[in-house]
Amino acid sequence: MRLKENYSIRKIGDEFMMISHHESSLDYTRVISLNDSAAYLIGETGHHVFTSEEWVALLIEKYGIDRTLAEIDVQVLVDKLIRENLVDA
Amino acid sequence: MRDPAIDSLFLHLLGAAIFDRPVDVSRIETLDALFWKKIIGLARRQSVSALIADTILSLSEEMLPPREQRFQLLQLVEKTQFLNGKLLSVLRDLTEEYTQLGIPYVLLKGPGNGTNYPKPLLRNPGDLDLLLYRKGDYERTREWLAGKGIDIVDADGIHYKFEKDGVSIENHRRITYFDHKKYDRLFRSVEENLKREENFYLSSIGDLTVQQLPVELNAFFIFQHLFRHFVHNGVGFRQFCDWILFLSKHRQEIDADSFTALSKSFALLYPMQVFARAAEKYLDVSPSIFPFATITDDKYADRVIEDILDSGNFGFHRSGKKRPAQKLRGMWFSYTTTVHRTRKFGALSPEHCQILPFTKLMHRLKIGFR
Repeated sequence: MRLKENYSIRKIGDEFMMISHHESSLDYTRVISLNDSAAYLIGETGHHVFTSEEWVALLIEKYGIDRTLAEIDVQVLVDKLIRENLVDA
Repeated sequence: MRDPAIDSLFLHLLGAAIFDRPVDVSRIETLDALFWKKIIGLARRQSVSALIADTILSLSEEMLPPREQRFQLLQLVEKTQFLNGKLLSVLRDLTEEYTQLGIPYVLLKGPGNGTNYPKPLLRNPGDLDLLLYRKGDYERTREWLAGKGIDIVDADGIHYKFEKDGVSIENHRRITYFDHKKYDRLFRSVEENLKREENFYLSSIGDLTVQQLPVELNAFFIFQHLFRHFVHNGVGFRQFCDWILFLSKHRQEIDADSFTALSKSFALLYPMQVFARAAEKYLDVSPSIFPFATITDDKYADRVIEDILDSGNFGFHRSGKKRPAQKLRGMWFSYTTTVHRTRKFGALSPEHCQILPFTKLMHRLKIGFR
C-alpha cells in the first residue's frame, strides 16, 4: 500500500488531523482525525510503500504492545484510510 | 448586531495572527460554541478567516472550540491555502505566456501583499492585478486574448478583466486613479516617471520572481487603494492588514521624509495618520513601522475601526439595507451610500471625500446608466 500524495497532518489540541487534498478541486478534500499511534505510523511511512505487517512491527517497537493489539490497531487504521480513499492498495 | 466582546477578541486574535504573537489565553478560557461562531462569522466578513482560524487552531486543547468547529476552521485554512496555490499556479502560467510574448508586468497587490504575512498562503486571495507598463502592451494583450477566444470585460477605464482557470485577472494600464482631477494629474506624472525608469522591486513568491512597484510607491499605493475603497463603500481588515504588514516588513527601506512629502502632496498624510493611530490602538501595532509622524488623537481612529468592523470586505457586509438587485436601484443605492460616507468622513479628507457626490454623479452621466 501507499498513502496518496498531497496530504498533511496537523496537531490540533491533543488530536492529530490528516488532511488530504485533491490536486484540482477542494470538493475532494478529506479531513480525518488520528490518534497518536496512527499519526506516528503515517509520519514514519511518508509516501513509501508499506505493508500492514511493517506497521504492526513499528507499533510493537514504539509502544511495546502485544502483537494482537497492534494488529487490531493497524487493521482499524488501514480500514479507515481505505474508506476515506487515502491509500492506493 | 455588533458585540464589543466579540470585536475585542477578534482584534486580539487578528493582531496575534499578523504579527505571529502569542494569544492571551486569559481571554479565551470560558468561551462557548456560540461565541466562537460569532468570531468565525466576523472573520469571514472581514476576509481574514484563515488567519483567525489558524490562530484559533494553534490554541491548547482546553482553549479550543468544540470539535465540530475545529473541523470547520481547518477547512477554512485548507480552502484558503488551496485557492492561493491555484492563484500562484495561474500567475506562473501567465508569467510564462507573457514572457514568450515579450510583455513584462508589475504585480499589484494580491499575492505580492501575501509575501508580507507570516504565513503568506493564509491571506485571503482575491484576483491577480497586473500592470502592463510598456507602451502598446495593454492593447496587445487584449488582441492576444481575443485571438484565443477569451472573453474580456472592460472595467473602470484603467483595466480590463478576464478569467483563467477560474482565477480573475485584471490587466491594468494604470496603477490607480484619483477621483480628484488635480491629484489624478499629479499621479499620472508619478506613473510616467516610473514607466521611464522601470526601477521596480523584485520579489520572490514561491519559486517565482516578480516585479512589484518600488517600495515607497507601493506603500503609498496600497494605502491609496484602501482609502479609495474606504470612502466609497468601506473596506475590511484584509485591506488594512495588507498595508500594516507591508510597512512592517519594508519600513527600513522607506525614507520617512520622502514618503511624508509624497503623502502630503496627495493630501493623504492625515488619513494615513488616522489609520496608523487605529492600527496602534486596536491591533497593538508599533508606531515605529510608520514612515511618518504619528498622532495620538483617537477621534477618527475610533470611527474608522467602527466602520471597518461594520462594513466588512469592501463594504459588502454592512448592517441595514442591502444593495437592491435591480440595476437602477442598485446604482442609486451605491450613490447614496457614497454620499452618506462623504458626510461621515468628509472632515477626515475633505480633498478626497467632499467632491465624491459630484464626481460620482458626473461619471455616471458620462458613461450612462448601463
